[in-house]
Amino acid sequence: MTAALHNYHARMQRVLDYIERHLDGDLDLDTVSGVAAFSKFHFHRQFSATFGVSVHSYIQLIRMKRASHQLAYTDAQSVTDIAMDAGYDAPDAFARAFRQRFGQSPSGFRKSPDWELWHAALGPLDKARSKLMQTTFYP
Amino acid sequence: MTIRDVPATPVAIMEHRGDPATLGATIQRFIAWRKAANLPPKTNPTFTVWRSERRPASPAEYRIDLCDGTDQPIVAGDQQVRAGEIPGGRCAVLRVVGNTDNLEPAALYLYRQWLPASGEEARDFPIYGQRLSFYPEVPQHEAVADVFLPLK
Repeated sequence: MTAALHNYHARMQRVLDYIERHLDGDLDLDTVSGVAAFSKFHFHRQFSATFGVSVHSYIQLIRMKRASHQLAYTDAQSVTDIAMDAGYDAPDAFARAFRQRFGQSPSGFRKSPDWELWHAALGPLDKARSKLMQTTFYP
Repeated sequence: MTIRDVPATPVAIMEHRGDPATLGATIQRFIAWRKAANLPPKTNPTFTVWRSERRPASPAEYRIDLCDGTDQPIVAGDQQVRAGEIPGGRCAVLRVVGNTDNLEPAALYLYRQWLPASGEEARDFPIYGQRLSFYPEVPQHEAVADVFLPLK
């Protein structure tokens, strides 16, 4: 792999790391593109072209993944708290988005998660991450 | 694929904002405006500036500028267009011949393959296209367009 490509992927990796560490923060286009000094006029297209998913969907999926873990594995937080954590002001907007992604309501998922649907819904995340992973292994 | 240093081009801009489904209507208005202003594609270059993704998360976020290259002043009171500029500077230019209806594959090539490997840095102006010949004036397979990726 050329140095240019390696550097480009390292910058994209920096963006993914930043998103992961700032799920509670404001992940708007200006902020996210600025992390690795990409022009905001191109970043949304560069991200989609690299990862096969829009930056908007990627962030939503990562937040939903965390929310689903909080629902299934911890009882400490209410669904409302989890919705707030995922960046939703209202629990019903969160419930709608959650159902759209995972085919279950948040409370339904908490009671008996359908892991197969869940896994399928998060497919784009795994695929996105593997785009950079592929380039860091040398067969 | 070539790297070209393009001069700044003054343009009249008709903005399309919102659902891509209504883009056809904006294009019709743009064509009518060009006829009325006597700035047709034969004599004046035609640019399209893609400000959003082709299919943004919400259709309302779709943004595209239809541009007619002209240094004539825009008639005062003309509500349909405003004066603007395609800024000058270096660009990666990819020529597309045939099926110029959809220039997305060309844009995707520039962003997915070319840019990451090139070591170049994109400049603060969106990716845009110039239509050099038009269907149905020429057969579809002869229509030509250039896609410009502005570089630092």
